[in-house]
Amino acid sequence: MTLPLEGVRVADFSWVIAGPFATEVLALMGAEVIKIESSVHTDINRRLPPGADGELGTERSGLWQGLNLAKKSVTLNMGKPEAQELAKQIIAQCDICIENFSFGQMEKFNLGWDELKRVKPDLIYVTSSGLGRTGPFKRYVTFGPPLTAYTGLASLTGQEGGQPERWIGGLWSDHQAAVTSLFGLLAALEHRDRTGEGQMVEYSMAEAIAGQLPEPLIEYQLTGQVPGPRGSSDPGMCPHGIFPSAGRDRWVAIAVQNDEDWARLRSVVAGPPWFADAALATVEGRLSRRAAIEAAIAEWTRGRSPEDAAAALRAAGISAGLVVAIEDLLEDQVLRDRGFFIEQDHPEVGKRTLAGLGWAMEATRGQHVAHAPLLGEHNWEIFVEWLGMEPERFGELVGAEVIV
Amino acid sequence: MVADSAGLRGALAGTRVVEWSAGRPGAYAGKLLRGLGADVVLLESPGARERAFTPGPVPAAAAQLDARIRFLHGGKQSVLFDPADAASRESALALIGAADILVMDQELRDAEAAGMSPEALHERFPNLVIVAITLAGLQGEARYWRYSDLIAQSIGGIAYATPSRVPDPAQYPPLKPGGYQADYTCGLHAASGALLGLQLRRRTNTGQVIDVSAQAMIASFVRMDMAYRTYAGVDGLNISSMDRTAPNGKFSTVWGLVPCKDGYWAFQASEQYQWAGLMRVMGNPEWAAAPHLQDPLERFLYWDDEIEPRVVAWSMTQTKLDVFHAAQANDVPVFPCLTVEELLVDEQQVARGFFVELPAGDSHNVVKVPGAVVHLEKTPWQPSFEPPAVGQHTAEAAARWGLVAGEVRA
Repeated sequence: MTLPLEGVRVADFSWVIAGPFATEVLALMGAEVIKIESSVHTDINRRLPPGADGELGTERSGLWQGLNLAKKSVTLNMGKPEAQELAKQIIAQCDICIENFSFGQMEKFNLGWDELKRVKPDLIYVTSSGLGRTGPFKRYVTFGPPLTAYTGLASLTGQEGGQPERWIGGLWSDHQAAVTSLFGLLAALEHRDRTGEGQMVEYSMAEAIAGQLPEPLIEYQLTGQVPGPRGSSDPGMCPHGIFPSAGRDRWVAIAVQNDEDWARLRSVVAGPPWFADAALATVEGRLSRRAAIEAAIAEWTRGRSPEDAAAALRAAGISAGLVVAIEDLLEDQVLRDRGFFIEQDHPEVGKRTLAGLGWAMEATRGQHVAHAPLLGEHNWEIFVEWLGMEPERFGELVGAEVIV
Repeated sequence: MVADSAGLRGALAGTRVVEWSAGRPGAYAGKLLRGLGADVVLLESPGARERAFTPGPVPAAAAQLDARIRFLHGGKQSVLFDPADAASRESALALIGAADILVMDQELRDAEAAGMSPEALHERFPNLVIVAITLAGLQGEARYWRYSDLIAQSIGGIAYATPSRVPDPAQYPPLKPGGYQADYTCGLHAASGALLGLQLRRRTNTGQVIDVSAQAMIASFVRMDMAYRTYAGVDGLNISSMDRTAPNGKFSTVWGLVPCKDGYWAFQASEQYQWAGLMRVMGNPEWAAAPHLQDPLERFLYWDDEIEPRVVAWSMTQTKLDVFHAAQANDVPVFPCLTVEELLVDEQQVARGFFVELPAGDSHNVVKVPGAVVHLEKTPWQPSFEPPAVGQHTAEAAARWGLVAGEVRA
């Protein structure tokens, strides 16, 4: 079946998480993604855990493989002019070039946008960094997790009235930035397909994260009160939170989103007699007695498993769910039925289950997903078969540690 | 068709989008597509905005609601829609039939009751790109599960993974990240899904139902956490000490949130040169030269007892901006922990013009909100914060798209 991005070619210089996740989406959607890397300076994630069966190695990282499925890998020592020229030849055959190095690195490789748009005028050039290509902090170095602090997200995340949280699950910043870049490059691709015009797409990871905080920004400016951590509560809903269930560290989440939901909840949770108070029929009334209401709900949830509590509430039409641990996710039947998980068969680490994507569609259902590439696995295919390099020359460049 | 002040057209100029939204995810997707220059028609009923965006009985609730509506619905057209009314449905279907993209985040039971499930619409309009946002996807009984930001974070795995290293799980519930992260990320996924749908249509000449599951989307963000289970088991080396309870094995990186004179600063020191840089900023203290602290993979074992107390003692003499700039001068990824108040005046954001003014509405307030989250050189973002009145374009929307009354393009 035809995939959405079939025929699109991508020169992928990205590394770590944000860039590779974006290009993995492109690959899983049918694009031919050529990862340009090097054994001289490998992507840090190739060296990071989890290594298969506890053993680290270039071809053993689950973190790296989970971000690089279905791509091709070539190795070029980008410090050498011959490598830069070969990279340019690859880019000339591509629709998209993407990088997320620190500021100015691509220019050092003679592969900046000014150069590349001469090589391929209709190229889409995606460039990103932690704080953007302009501004006084453009050279500042970044990893994703500390950016949740810089962008205000950490200041809003924590137990109610407590301190900011240092960790937001799932390396949130990196993945959020990846999806933001995907949106931009797909828009540019649409424009290119309609007009033949390429362009540069630039984004800052910080802006990608802060871009999702309009409500706290509005709240501060209209009330003069700086919002802080609220636990899992909501200023406009009650009850709304994460409640303890039977079992160790088991929890159920419940969101009563309006007054009709409160009536639905009461059909499931009898609660104390005062649950019938007319004043609680409105969100104003419930919020004024939030602590007591939520304590009573917790009494009910403690007496049952989170699965049972969630099922009963859902049956009544409430938005509720198990607070899943990663082990639960891997067994989640809804995700399994959706075909969310990808079963990778890798030459070195064998069969391993990895996470899929948030989109599903008929076109991608049941597709075969190629394993994350070995370092340089596609050197011959790309340089000799694709670019037409003479085999003898290929050997020379390997010997000269250009292709390495 | 929308052009910016320089006459540049958006990437989606001429693309017709119908947005049938009930909450932030659909509304934000529509906003993003509108920002690319698409013509976005919102199907809505009286009171829908208040239900979708009400902030509750909080200070300045009316002004906050007004600002939220301006942010999310600015630049769209509004057509009155009553799914229970046959004539209203036919008018809506005429618009949908003339559209390129439909974005919907309605409850599936409501959509089915109106004969407007994603599947039914796909059958009727096979060329249409339909982006359906739900809590857990379109499969089975889960398609009827009611959406909310909190439940999306919970069944997708982020809530349990936030925070990490909890000393007493019984006293420290899992957490929803601040704001409405699932809502907005769902909207972003839906907008990207619409663009993928256009690409697929270009290749196949047919539309498609793009099924955006909030659960799957959130779960796709915890892919590293899953890999820890399927690759390393319980004894694996752990990159970021991200587990909620008893950490798996050893840690491999030093990172955290450190208190200081005026708040906190955050850092990550995965590489040896970053650790060395942080120590330089601290004046190369003698304790940092101890042999057992030199191995990056072993160092974290000593964080709690040996390193953190010393770093904190030094940090309490510093401001977060002092540490930020000094550490960055040494190539260490340190960032201040900013409140939204501080973020608004952060030098970098101000220099890049990231925040834009939301013009005064009935409340006569002007507030700054996020502008373009991604910058397209030739087809720049086209902000608009003038929302339509509910139903303002009911009479003219069909004509605008070249339809005569009652016409349905199937």
